[in-house]
Amino acid sequence: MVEDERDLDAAERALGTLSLDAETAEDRARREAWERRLSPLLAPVAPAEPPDGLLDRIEARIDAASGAEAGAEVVDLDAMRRRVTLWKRATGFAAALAACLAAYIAVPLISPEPAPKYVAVVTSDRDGSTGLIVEFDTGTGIATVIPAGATVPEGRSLEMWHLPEGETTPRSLGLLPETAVFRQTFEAGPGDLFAISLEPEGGSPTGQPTEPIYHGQVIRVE
Amino acid sequence: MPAPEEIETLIGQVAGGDRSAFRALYRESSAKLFGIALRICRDRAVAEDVLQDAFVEIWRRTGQFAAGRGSGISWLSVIVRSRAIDHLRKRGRVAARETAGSAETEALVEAMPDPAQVADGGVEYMALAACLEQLDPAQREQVLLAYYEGHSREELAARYDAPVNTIKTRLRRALAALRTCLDG
Repeated sequence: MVEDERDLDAAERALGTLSLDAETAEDRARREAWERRLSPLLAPVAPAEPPDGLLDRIEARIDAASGAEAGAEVVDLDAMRRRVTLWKRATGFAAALAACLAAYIAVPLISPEPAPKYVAVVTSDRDGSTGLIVEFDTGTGIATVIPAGATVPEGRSLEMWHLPEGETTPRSLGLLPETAVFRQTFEAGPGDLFAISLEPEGGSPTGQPTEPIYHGQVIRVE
Repeated sequence: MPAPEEIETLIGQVAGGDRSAFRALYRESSAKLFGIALRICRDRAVAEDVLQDAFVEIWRRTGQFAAGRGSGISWLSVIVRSRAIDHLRKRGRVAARETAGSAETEALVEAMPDPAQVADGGVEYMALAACLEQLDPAQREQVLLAYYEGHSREELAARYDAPVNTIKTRLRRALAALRTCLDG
């Protein structure tokens, strides 16, 4: 009877009506057996052609992830932080930031030249410490996200957000990775905002930031 | 669609880090998998994100595929479905659904593959469809809403105007009946 309940828990996890949290190896095997039982439901779904270029984007992400794991990509964090400090001084950026961003007001910046590079320094609302650096190259469309000092509280998750200029709804960039530098392709430009929010473990339950604690705005560096 | 064994051979090669096999796997399966993402998300942009996430995960996880325990395409399909449902939950799909009219909700149920229509899903689909057919219609609908639409217990409770515990009991009864029917 207890075994039966355990198998039905696994069935509900496969169905999606129970969460996957804290699943043991044996429970995982049970859930996977249920996933196979139910998977024929996906067989008659009509195919649809994905857009051209999607495979390239997937491969770019795989390359970026493997580069970060293998340490193939060297990012001089100290140099970047120094540059960030200079920018903060030059623009009074850190101080003005919280006020701007609390209201999600985008401030127009220098007009871009061909393929400029931008950086967003995402700093703590509490003490101004740097939590995340997002650097992106509008030429390649690749953004490099560098976690820089934000620590994840026990039992919670930090989630990254991007608010394109002129929009009111931030988009999730996923959970903040603990160590790896990761790169992804997304459209970003001057006037965009980035933020980190404190979330329940696993990320925002609502799809919107729960408790934003770090904010940063894009500035042009090259 | 390619022969099932071809997909499984490609998965084996991808597990060995073969990038050209990965591209071939994408070519052979992406239309089917994008169809699944689109069916669940009903939004092309979201479905594209889902397919990207799923293929990055597939690249990392091909080593976990055990031939002999289900087909390659169903293994890939389950990964895509899981990512699609994650995206639905993350993007506050609940809010979007509340604004949708009840006529649209009815249409969603209508659009589900009818278990009685056993056309081209293969023998496994026919067996599962036959077992679903034996369920009470309301139970069957709940299972399908959870499977294709990512409904949680709470959402089902709201939809059927029933306590969450009642929904839980019904779902588990339906799943136990399916297990008996399929394995028996």
